[in-house]
Amino acid sequence: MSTIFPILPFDGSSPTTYLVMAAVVGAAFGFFLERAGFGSAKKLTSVFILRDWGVYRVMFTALVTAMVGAQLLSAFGWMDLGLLEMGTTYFWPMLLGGLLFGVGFYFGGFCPGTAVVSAVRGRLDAWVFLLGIVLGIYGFALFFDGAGQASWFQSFYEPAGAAVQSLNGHPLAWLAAIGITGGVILSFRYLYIFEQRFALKTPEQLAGEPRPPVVRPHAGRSTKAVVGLAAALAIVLAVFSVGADEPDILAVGSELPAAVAVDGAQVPSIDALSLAGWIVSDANRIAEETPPNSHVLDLRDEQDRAAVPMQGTVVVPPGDGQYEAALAVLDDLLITTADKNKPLVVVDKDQSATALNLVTDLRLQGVNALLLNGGDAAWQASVLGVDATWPEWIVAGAAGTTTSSTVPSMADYQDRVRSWMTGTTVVVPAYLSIPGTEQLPSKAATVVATGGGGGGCG
Amino acid sequence: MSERALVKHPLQQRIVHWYNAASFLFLWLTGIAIISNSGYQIGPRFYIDTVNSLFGGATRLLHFHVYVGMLWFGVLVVSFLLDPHGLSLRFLRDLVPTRNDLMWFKVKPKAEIFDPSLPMPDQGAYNAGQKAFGAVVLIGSTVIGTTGLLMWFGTGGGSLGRSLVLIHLITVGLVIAFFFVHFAMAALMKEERPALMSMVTGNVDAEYVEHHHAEWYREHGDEGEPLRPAERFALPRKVLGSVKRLVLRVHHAKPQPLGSPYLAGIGLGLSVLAGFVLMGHGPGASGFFSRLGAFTVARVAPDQVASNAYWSSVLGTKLSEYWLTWTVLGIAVGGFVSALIAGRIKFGIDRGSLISRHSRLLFALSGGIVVGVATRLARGCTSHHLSEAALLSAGSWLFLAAVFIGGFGTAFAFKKVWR
Repeated sequence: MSTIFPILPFDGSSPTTYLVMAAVVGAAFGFFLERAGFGSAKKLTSVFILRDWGVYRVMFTALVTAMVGAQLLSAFGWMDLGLLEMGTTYFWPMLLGGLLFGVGFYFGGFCPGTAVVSAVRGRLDAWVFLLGIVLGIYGFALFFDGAGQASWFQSFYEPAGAAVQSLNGHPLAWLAAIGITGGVILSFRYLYIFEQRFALKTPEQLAGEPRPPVVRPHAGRSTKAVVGLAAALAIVLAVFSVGADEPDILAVGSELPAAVAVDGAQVPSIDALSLAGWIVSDANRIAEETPPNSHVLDLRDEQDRAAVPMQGTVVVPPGDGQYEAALAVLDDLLITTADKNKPLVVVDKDQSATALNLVTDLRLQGVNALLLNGGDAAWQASVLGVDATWPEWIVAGAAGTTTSSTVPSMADYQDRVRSWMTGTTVVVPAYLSIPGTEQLPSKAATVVATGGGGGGCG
Repeated sequence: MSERALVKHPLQQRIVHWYNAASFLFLWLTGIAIISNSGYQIGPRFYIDTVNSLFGGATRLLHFHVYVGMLWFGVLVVSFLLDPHGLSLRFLRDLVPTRNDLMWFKVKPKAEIFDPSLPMPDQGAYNAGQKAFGAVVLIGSTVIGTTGLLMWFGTGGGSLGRSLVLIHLITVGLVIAFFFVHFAMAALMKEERPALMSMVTGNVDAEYVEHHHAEWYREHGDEGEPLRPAERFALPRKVLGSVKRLVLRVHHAKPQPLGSPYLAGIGLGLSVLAGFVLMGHGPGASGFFSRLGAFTVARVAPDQVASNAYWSSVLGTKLSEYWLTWTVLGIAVGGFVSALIAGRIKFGIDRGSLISRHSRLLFALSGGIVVGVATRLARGCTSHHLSEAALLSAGSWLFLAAVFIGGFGTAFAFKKVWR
């Protein structure tokens, strides 16, 4: 799938082009914030006293527009949603942070972006609010460095196993998008009840006259237009999403993953020989500084890994929090490769419950997760076993990624791969060798101790 | 010649003129000796050697040139901008070109070459040629002084440094070319002698100006233009006055009513989508204020930030290379443009009808502090979470829901704040 968007994915570096884009996007954002009247604290807070729901209307119209737009671009195959920056979900900090934010929003009158707009409009309270933000963050930094280092706070602020939790990239995300759009538009229909019930009292009403009964207003032309547009987009989105290709499952050879039954569900898997082909070809890709086509997560303990060796994996050893650590590693892998469509193979001693659950969960999140069919026993038998006979396509697949024109004999190739996998290799086969290196260099096992990582942003 | 003399150049104006002339002369003479070893050499070798030995070496010569140049430019800029006698504004006003000036340029060459009796168009305080020279000196001095300072205080080398030198020299050359005409007219031509004398004595003969500067004579024919107390500090007062008028005009502009919230929302959503499409990220804001705090504190106490567990990592990137800095700048510019178009730039404070201005500011400060802390816990503000909620992030939906719950709850308990 060749996508053109995002033009310059976020990777933490900031070339000038990126900064210019950031400024342009910011300018458009600020322009429309002001158009919506968000440069006024009175307008912003009037939603909280239920009087004027403009803030809600604008925010959720914006959300729906961006959401439907992203889903449409993805359905057309123009945008790779996996390349978009996604924040980790931290349940309690985000819940508490959101509630606190609401409190500060009401008293202060702004959120940070709208305060900037109000400040340039010449409102003194916005400048004071911005000063408050900087002071608050300074206070937080001081706290974080002092009392916040206590374990109770750290485990609250950055709990182990926190991961990106999003429907982004899920095969059925489009359905969620249509559902949310419908829900939002439906909610707009009933805002008039609040707006009439809590409207500013007229002088007569202040003098004791009762409020008139709530009357449903007629839908204006613009309302009808927006609903019609949303419906049309929903149909387009549905049509394109249903017709869109499922994520390609990379196959070096012609073997398709066999399914393994778990609690009645089918979990896609890969056989040991195909996996060996992937790992070797990926080792070559990494040595040539191209991103790998797949990732392997090894859940076994040290003993089992020594008994049945395997190179080119990310090791997440068993123990407390293994599952969370695996998710965190995955988060890292997806951020670095930024491609959920790349297969992620989970290896365990047998088809353990952890491995099966992990694969099932990951697939629900839209990750192309696969199980190693037969666990490490199959690996021992087909890859490391001396008697095993390898099909030709493995060599072809592995050699196809090297610059060398020498295609080895099968027996030779099998020996080399076997000795590399068991870590006994000294000489690199010519067809795998990279000028200036003595040994198949990277994709050796990486052992992960704990999960975590990620930083404050936004 | 009549006996009546009109005031043309008050003493202060004459001082500036001769001060300028003397400084130019010194700077030209030393300047020509400085540009000896580069490709621009103008003066003959013996001259360069003489001047160099006179000042005691090339370095000291350069220092003389630079320090005298700074003195010349500094005094000129300060006195011009401060305008204590109102002469700067008078000078600027006298330089403004008129239709008669255009005609003067057409008639003058003919009169000089073919027919000296040709009638010249009426002129103001300065004729068109004098105006042209005045403008060249005014703009040229600014360019020469600015490039000189940049050459001295700037990093020097590189293509920028070399082009500064070139601009400096070309401008000097231009001013010198005009100076020769100016000098020839004033010092050598007999019929222009009253003009020269007006720069010496300050006064000019009434009959001469009636003929040569008819427009000026019509206006100032009884006594000329002596200093007037009412004109003191005229230039800064005029500038401040126009700024104030502009600001007040913007402030009192009639605000347009808000448009459809749905249209604004669609625009806002498309901006977020543009963020996804261009840079793989929607806009944010609070991260910038965190960095701003870190860099501000680091300016006063670098160790405090470097050893701070939360902030230590952010100092690696300069504030100017942090993408959110540019997003926030963009938000400010975009918001300002929209507010300007819609007449919504208003200086003041937004507050509920039941609280005083002081309480409002106190609320804004404390609300800001709470929001600052909240953004750190929640890893971003509403802008960031709005973007990620559009990407169906569970945490962002949680945050947005919590913001509304927190806001509704607080509003219910503290209705009076925004009543």
